[in-house]
Amino acid sequence: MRNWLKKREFVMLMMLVVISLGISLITPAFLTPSNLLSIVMNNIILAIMAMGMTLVVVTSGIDVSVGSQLGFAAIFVGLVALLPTANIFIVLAVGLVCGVLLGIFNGILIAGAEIPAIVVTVGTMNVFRGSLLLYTNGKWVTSLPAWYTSMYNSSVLGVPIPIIIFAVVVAVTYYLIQYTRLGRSVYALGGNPVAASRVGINTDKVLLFVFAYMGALTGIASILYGAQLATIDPNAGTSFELTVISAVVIGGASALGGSGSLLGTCIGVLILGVLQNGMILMRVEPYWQDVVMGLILIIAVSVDVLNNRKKEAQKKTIDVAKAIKGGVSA
Amino acid sequence: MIKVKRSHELILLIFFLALMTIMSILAPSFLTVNNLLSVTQQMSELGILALGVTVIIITSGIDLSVGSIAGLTTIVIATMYGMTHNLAVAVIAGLVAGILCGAFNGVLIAKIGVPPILATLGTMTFFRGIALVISKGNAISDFPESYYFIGQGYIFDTLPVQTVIFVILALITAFLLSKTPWGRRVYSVGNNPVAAVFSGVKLDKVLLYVYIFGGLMAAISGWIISSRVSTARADLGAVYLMQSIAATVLGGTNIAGGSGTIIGTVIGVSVFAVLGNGLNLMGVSPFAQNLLMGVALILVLLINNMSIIKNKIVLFIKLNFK
Repeated sequence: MRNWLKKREFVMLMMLVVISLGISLITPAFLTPSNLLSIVMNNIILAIMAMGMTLVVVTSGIDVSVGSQLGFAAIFVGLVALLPTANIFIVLAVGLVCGVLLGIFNGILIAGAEIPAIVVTVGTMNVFRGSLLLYTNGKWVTSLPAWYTSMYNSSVLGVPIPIIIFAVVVAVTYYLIQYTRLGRSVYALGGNPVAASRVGINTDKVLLFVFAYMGALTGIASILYGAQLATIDPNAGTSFELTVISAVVIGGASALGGSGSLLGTCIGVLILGVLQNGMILMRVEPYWQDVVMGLILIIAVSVDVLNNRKKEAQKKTIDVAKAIKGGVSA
Repeated sequence: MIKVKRSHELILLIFFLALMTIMSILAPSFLTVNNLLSVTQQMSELGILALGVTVIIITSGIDLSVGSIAGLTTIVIATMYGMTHNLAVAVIAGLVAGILCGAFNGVLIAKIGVPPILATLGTMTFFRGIALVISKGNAISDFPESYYFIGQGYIFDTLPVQTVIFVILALITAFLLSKTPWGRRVYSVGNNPVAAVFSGVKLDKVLLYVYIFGGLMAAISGWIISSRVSTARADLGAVYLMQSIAATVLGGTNIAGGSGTIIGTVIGVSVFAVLGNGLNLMGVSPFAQNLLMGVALILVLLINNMSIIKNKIVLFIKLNFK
């Protein structure tokens, strides 16, 4: 019980509850089922991509090209959906394949050529966006067919389809990192890359998988993106990567690698979503949003670092005390 | 035969010269004194930002907030001028704002110990937010005529003022890095922070000054940008953020810290500027420039890591096809 209380996720959950309570005291419109549902629905795309980014951050990598990937895949999904013979399965397949290919492109450069992830993805961010804009000539994809756009608002057994898709993504990701060799390797690699390769983990393969998986989830998110907005801007997703990374970091994944959980990331996404929604409901001037978001991020990471330092300090004293006791008894 | 040391700067210089040659063949108006001067004018803003980013990356840090600091500086200058109608006071206030932003980053990173990428991810949003709150999201263009000298003026009617500023700042930064104790400490912190501490380097002090330096460079860059476009807006520096990191890395600064030179960064920035200007003259769509900048960055790093790639391919073939 005590361990459970000390967990990072629990602290973040408390923070989420406090923020929500504060907002609902000021505006009664916040704590209504329809508003809460709309918070979830508006952040599904962010949440799906944050799942992939969690794995990337766990390997102590980073991917700043996901915003461009989102735009790239969304445009292709949109163009395919406009074809007369297209149906929902083709669209799903195109989004997924497109995302995976973009992710593999990153992964090959990062794992194969050993160029640092941030450098590769700064480069591919420009490559993806540039080639997309060149191809579309800056034109939007509009008048998407109804069978595609209705996907976002329809539901199965009372559950909206985006939430079902999100649940599947979470389940698959959880299974991967909890029960498969490949998924455990992701944490091993992030915790200590040298040790990981010594025990026989193919680190290149793991890195390639992580970036390909990030791409796959971005592809799925891009399908929802087009369905949600019904028109797709080739600039879609510009600087969205920073929101995704912020959510993951607020959720407690360490930039040094080796730690980070899906639950934490979900809470991180919700904190961002609740703040944004609450500030709109409270009629705070929109200029204040960035100030508040930035402060939350700064406080979250600072508190994390200070906590870790305290834990480390405690660890050392215990070790010394044990060693002394051992010496005395011997 | 003379054996030339195969360094990153050399590869980059050859790449740059090849690019210059191609551009001057494809676009006849490229290789004229006037055009080359305007290239240096266009690269100065990015270049000055990149000087600060280079010093930061050498310490194995990164600064995502430089674009926001530049934007905030423009807003502070405009607002202070609106209040005091004294240009000198306004510009000094803007530069002080940049220094304070840098110090804020520095305290988070050096004193509290937050990883640079996370600290500056937060401050990027925070500084932009402050700029938006001060300006209420508006663009301000209430400047006196004399303000435009920095961004649009010429010395001796030929040399663009910002080019001169860029050259002076680049020389100062190069001198600081290679000839002063502070510069040696910057490299040692990036190379091996533990060893640096044991050899008596005050890690937090060095890092603090490095981020203050980055903030000041961002502020100067913001000052020039707002003078060139005659407006102040919170998002003015945002486009240069990723470009400044890309140009620095293209220039051979190791993102893991410990190595990097100012001359490399200047060449890196020049590659981007020549690419942009040359493609413009040829009438290529601006969208293609984005693409080619990304390709140039990846290509140069691939050439740089050629031996690693060769080894991996050989190993792969051995394991799978024999």
